[in-house]
Amino acid sequence: MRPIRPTNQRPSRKNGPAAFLLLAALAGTAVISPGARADSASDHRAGMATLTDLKAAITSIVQANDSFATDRNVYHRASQRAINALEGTHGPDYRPAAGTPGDALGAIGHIDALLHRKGTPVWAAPLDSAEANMRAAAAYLLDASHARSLIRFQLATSRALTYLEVARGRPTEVGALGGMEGTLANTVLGVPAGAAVENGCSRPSSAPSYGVHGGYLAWIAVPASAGTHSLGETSGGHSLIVEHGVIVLPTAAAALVAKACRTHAAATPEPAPRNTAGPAAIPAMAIPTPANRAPPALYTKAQAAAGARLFAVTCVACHGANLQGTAAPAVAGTDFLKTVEKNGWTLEALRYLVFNNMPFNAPRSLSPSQYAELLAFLLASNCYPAGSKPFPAADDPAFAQLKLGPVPGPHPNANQFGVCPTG
Amino acid sequence: MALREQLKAGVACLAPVALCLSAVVWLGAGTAFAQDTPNASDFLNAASDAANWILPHKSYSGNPYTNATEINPSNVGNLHLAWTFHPADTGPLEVSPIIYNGTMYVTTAHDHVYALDAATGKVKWSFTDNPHVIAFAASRGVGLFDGNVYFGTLDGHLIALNAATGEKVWDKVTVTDTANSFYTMAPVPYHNPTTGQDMLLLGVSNGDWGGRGNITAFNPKDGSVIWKWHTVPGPGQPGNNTWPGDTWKRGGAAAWTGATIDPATQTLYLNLGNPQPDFLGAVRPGANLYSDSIVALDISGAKPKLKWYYQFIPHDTHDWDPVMQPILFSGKVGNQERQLVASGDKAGNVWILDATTGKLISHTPASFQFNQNTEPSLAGNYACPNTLGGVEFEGGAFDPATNTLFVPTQNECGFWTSTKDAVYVAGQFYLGGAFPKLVGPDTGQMNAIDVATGIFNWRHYFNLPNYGGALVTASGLVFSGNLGGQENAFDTRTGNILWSYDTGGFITAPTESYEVNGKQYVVVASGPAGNASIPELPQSTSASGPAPVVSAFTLGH
Repeated sequence: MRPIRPTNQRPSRKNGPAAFLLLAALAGTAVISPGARADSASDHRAGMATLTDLKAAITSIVQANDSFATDRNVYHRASQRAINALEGTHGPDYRPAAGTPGDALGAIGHIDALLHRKGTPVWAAPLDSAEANMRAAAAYLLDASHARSLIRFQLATSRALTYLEVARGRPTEVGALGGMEGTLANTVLGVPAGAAVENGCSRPSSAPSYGVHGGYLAWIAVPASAGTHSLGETSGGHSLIVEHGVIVLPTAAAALVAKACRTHAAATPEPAPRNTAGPAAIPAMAIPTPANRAPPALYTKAQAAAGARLFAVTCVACHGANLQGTAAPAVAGTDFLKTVEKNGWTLEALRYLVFNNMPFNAPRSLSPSQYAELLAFLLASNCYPAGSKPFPAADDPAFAQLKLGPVPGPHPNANQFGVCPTG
Repeated sequence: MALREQLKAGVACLAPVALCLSAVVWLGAGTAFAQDTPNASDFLNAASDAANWILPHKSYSGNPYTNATEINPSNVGNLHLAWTFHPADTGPLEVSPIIYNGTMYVTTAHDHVYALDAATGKVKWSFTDNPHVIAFAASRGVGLFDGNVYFGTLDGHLIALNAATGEKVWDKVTVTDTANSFYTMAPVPYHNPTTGQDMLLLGVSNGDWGGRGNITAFNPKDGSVIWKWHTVPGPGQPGNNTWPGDTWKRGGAAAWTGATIDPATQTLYLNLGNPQPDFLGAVRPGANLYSDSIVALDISGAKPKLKWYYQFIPHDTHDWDPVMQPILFSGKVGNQERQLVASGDKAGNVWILDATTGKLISHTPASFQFNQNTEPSLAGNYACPNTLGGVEFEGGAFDPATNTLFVPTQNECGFWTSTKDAVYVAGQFYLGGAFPKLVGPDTGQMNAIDVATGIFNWRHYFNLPNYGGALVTASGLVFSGNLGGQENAFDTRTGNILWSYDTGGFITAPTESYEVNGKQYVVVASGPAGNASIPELPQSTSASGPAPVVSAFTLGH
């Protein structure tokens, strides 16, 4: 899900996003399963690169603030550099002229790549939240990059920094509040390539090694011999255990893992104490993560069936019987939805395109109710649920707020393209 | 083999005779060594090489003309199918096959690449890419150079494959915004003799999706950028004042068709696409340079320099870009032999300019034109041709024997609507309206235009549009494919159709000629009509239209 542009919005409460994202963590789908293996070295590298890009964005702003420059271009450029570090060279707001302190993918690009997979690793929820916060920060940074006065720059960047600090997180936290640092300190994402991985339910049998259980990192062990032993990432533990010639650093996730180990069953961990903040505390800037919002029912089954018949006559020649496109683009399925989400399409954007520009050689040649049926068919094919209310023939202003993207949850009936049947 | 050194050996022969001689011998050895791809001097001599077809329009001059004469007006009636090839892809075929030393390289709508035996159509290797499609699935072909096959993809990659094996050598995202930019054009290899730099010239398709056009020279070794020339001038550059405010940022003027080069002067002739938003002129008052223009760029230096431009349609509001690749030729105007450049646009005009100065020589309206000066409105209005009419990208050809320009055209009309405002949405059309609704009959012509006068020598009328471009042979034939699927051969002097063959698919691709073991072949691709679909086309048994097919023809056995 994508942020709303923050221009003209009231400042959020200082701890607003943090409080909200904690709820996201509670709704997370992470399940500890015994025997889960450490993820690949490339995941770890991507995780580390995300943090590096994120830090580069923060540094860019902090340095500009510390420069006491009188030239506004210094501030504009710093904001743009931070955006570039976050979004990478393919981001919508990327401008090469300012320079790129991060790498080509950018922090958001790395997270997108990490999250683009089947299954939901335990680190998916905090990364999702970190991305949401980075996007919110990028929106404020965009304001900062046009700021006409120092005070406006500082207002915009201080908001951006709030989000970026939450995205960076801290190693003492497990879940959304841990951000990137917490994820690297407490999950398998923090295990470097080639490192020895052991069962996190037991004590280490060798050192150096990493104790992992159910995707969480319970401890790091280093030899107690004389010399310098490097640690992969900052550890969030509170204590050191020295035993049998090994120093064990329990992570912040150690208690969580210990409890899961005791129950033996593949239990859902209790990631963090429950926060009492209700939905009322969610500020306007809050960005829901995809996992915790049920997709709305926007059409009826009868409409979708009528739309399917219409599609077979009017659209199939270019968009293909399997909806994957022949001369024209795909209009349903995994690839389509991923692109739609990346481009930030709202339901209104899709509706407008279909109602006003299709069919290509005869736009606006169908009736509004026929176009509504086609939209119903497209939503059904993209695994959005049917309901009792028909898709309207007239425009609905709420559609401009409804972001499209992959519908969470399993879709057992979807075909190999990720297209759901409409029957 | 270093192409740069070969070329130096080939052209810079100012040294004493003995040195020159040794260089030529060495060059011969180099050619024998590099069998898979043409070298820089092959490109300079492409026009006179009847066996190979190594650039989309035959040679740097952009003129699809072959000096092969085996197939001629007296025997063309015996032309028959030599082979067909059915690629495993959907979507229209718009490819200009590249043929070198008996191998033909063909691309399909979703960026599959096939290396075929040019004598039999048998697959030597294939490469399959199925990129995300932004709007139109099409690939116009490959560039062949330096041992590699180069092609741009629908998701903005530039990819190098080993020409002998089809294995990937490198693959790089080279567009700046993948949400609205992609490639359909074939990369054009070029060696700059002044700087010694090899390059691939490639323009981006982003002119209906909110991009700003550019032509970029890429290093064939790794895809790095050598230079990039933006087709819409930025702040401080001449022409920027033809765009109000920030409109230049999404001004379009994509360079998506083909690159014509005069190697003698190192001039690149480019046709640039329509301005954006396509149908809402009110938000961009002004001429909107260099949209709908031909530009002549000096590419001898480290960066291109604009020599001249000629804007065919200032402030276009109908997506009438000049999509025909410029043809550079020496033709007779009055009694004078002059260096000329010809082009055509989707508004149905054929233009002939002085190639050195860019001054207009003649302008021939070749399609039915109606109500062209009225901008689309909210309520809508009619104009002709529509966005698919006029002269299309497959283009025309010049025949020096008859001093004639052969250009296929379409008569199609449309009903156009604009919107109150144009909103940019990443990955969508940026139109400020809608593409025109087809209105009335859709027909086509083959035109023979006398360069001396700009007047028709003859015209042939078809019941269906005539997209297939033109191929002229030195023996006095002009080949062209009709959208209905017929590949036709005309007598250049009379316009009589001497041969016709139904390929079974709709033709939206150019025709080419080549030779294997001294035997002449004619080749054309056909398949589904894609964007060119019109109600008059025969119904296909398959919902997605006829299967894509490449058809090659020859005489005897």
